[in-house]
Amino acid sequence: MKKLIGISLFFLLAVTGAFAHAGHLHTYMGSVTMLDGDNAFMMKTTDGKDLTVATSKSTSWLRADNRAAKQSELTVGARVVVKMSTDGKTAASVKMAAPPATK
Amino acid sequence: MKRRSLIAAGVLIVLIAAGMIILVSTLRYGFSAHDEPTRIEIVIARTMRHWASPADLRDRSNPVPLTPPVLEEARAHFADHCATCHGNDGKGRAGMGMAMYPRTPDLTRAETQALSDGELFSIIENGVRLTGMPGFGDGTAGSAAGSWTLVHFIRHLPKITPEETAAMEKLNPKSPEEWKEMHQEESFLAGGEQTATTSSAQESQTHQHH
Repeated sequence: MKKLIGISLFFLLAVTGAFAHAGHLHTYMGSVTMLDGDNAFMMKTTDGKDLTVATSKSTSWLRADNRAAKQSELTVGARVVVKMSTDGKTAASVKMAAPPATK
Repeated sequence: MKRRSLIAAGVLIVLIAAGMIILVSTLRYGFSAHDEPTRIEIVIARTMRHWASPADLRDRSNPVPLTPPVLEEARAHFADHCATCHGNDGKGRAGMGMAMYPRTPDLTRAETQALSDGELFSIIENGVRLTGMPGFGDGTAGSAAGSWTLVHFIRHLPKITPEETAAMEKLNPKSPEEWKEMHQEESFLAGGEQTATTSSAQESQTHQHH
């Protein structure tokens, strides 16, 4: 009897579960057009679209040579490669090049 | 005694009825790897995983001394063989691992870090049944040495830096399309032409394995 109850209980619990779908990891390339505090910046992607990129404490900031960078180093005009996190809402990493030299 | 039997029979009837409802529902709608494992499945799987490690291995400490070159070798090994599912940071957010049932675990969390060196070694060498974790060991001393160095790297994962994960990206297995994307990104950041657009890393990574 106990075995039967145990098996039934396992079956009952084992086949129930929530459905979840994995997201897609998008990469965007472009140039920074506006800084918006610590939590976001705007960029124009290489295909001409304006994009607002949300950042968080878990966002990694890197230079083009993969050395660590600080968010404060991001400037308008800098080229960036942004890899989005799996939630598709915040940036997982932002790799930045130096902004173009001004005359 | 009679009352106990009645209660047991009542519980059994409820369970059977619930089981029938779930069975009919499951047969009708099916089930997929997108589901999250239930708590009882997780408990059973972790218990089985513990038992799956040979008893003489469970309490073993890593025999390979931890040195910077060993860690560097393990990092490259992990990037090449493990990151496809576990991600370079070990958090299991890479394309393949996110779609498995069960999902690849976050190796930086206590559930993994609390395992003994011997258990981690056993998992790498022998795999875990009914999951996506293959047994990488081939019984040779070279294979064992490689697995022990990976144990060091798994211990290092909670402290891994963004620079390390970025460097590992160059060592990850890539399809020709992904190599192209990586070079486009590097060229773009170096001031090259703005020819590339957006990409979906997970899609391309997943496709490379099918």
